[in-house]
Amino acid sequence: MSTLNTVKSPAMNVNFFAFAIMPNIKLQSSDGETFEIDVEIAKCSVTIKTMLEDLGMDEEEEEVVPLPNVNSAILRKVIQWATYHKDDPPPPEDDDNKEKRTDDISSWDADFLKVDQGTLFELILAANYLDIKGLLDVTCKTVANMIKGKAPEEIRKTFNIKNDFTPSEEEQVRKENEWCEEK
Amino acid sequence: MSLDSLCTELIVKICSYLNINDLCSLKQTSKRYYDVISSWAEVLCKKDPLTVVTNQNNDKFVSNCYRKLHQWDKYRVSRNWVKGKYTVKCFPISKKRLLPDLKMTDKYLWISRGEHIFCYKRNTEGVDIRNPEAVLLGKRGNDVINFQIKNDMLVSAYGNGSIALCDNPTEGTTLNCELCHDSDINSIDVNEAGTMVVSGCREGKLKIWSIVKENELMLDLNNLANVQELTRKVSISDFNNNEIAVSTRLALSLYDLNKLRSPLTLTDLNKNIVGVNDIKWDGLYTFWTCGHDSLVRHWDLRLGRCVKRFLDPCDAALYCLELDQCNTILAGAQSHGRVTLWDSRLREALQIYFTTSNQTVHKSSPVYSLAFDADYLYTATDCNLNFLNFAGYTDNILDHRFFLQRSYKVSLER
Repeated sequence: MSTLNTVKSPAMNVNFFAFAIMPNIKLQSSDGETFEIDVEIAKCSVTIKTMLEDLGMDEEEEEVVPLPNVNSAILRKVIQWATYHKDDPPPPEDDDNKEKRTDDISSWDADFLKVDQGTLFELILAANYLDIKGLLDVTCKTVANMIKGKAPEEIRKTFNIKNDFTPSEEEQVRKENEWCEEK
Repeated sequence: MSLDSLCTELIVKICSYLNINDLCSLKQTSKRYYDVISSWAEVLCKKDPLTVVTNQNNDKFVSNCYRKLHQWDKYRVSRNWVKGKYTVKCFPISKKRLLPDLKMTDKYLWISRGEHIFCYKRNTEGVDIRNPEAVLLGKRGNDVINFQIKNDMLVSAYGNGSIALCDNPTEGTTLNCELCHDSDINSIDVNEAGTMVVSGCREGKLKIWSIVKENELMLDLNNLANVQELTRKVSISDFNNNEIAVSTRLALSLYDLNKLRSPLTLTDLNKNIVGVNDIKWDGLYTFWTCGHDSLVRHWDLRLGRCVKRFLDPCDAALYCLELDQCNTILAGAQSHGRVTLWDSRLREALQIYFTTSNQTVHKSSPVYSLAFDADYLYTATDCNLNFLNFAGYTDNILDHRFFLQRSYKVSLER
């Protein structure tokens, strides 16, 4: 069983000292690894928060919450993120009418997300499954930044997207979207 | 694990951070992104600023549009308007030089040619000019000066001071004229419901009529106001039938039906108001005008003055005006069959379009009347009806924006 102190992060150490006074919860990843963390940190996941509230899980009991959609490597990353951001104010509601910024990623998050594409997308899936808005926002912004300003062919290369248009379809689509390239 | 393995919901979430240009690029990478972005366009493009001409967010304007544009096409067609990407079709309507009037309703385009009014059915190609749906015949030698159609009620005014009414204009008929004024009628308008008519004549009489239907349609004189001067244009507010804007040679006034004797005279600081040729209402208290002083003006009745001005880029007199009731203003000028496009939020004009007039006499014609929907601009010049189609995927670019830059510089130097 791995516990938090296996993660070598300053943020984690703070949490480790708080261990004694805060109630803890055990999360189990898809590959069977168990993480014991502070309940308050776990509750940044709306999925876990709702589960605890709805099921009325007794915090005294040594129950394990299974997370079958998240593997240990990703869960470790998610916990690391959640721990660092545990005192953040709740993220603002989305305003669809406003242009969303992508240049407001904090330097800690930017460093945290310097990972291979596979991990980035796994993090998006985990953030979505666990319903952690802040993490989902920042990971999606990172992907959006990888798309911005690129030509279609460059985007294909970046994400290894297979071009499944026939040449004539491609020509049609190009023509349809021509107006966008010229500014 | 790759971008492709994310579900649609997450792709849309990522796309919500992209602007139009990036969405367009991503759309072209593969079928999946094409489909996702196309079908979620309404949501994804919501945050982007309004377009010109193609917004279609006013019911009245939408009802006059031949087709409803989907979000993606709104951007494309709007850029075509701004960049001058369009094709022109020109139809001669007369060998003589006329003063045609043009009106557009949801299914038809109407144009007066001398004493007759022609009705053409609209289609994806604009209109079929060779097969008029109906012709409303007038008396020879008595030309239509001005006509209006609202709620299937057609009202036309003639040079000899008579007015004709028709409540089924698409059937085509001979119009019966009723003598209503002692002199030429310069302008006529009918209210939205098609029940009240206002006419203004050369001798300065403003007459307000109600339409009565017994065996036939008749005009019943309700009220009379003395404008003292030649009335150029009368316009009943679309939002309040009691208010009528009236322009004369050097003034613009607002007549309230309940107190016709004391009209409100509108002023524009120290600037003169010269010959307002067209008036279009865009709100309960606001309307736009254009006139011989080369200005398009926005008036606010709560303040009783002009609140916005646009100067024609070539300093020419402006003859006609149309709005999309959102942010688009199109005005037809005195010469070269020229039409100018403005976005009411910007200071400078966006684009100019030239349409053809009588080529043989080497004289350029004013745009006497114009109409537009999101895809088409129709203009009537002395001898021609012109269609400008902005909806196509054309490589034909008629960009005259350099005119705007030059005229702007000249006006700065002055």
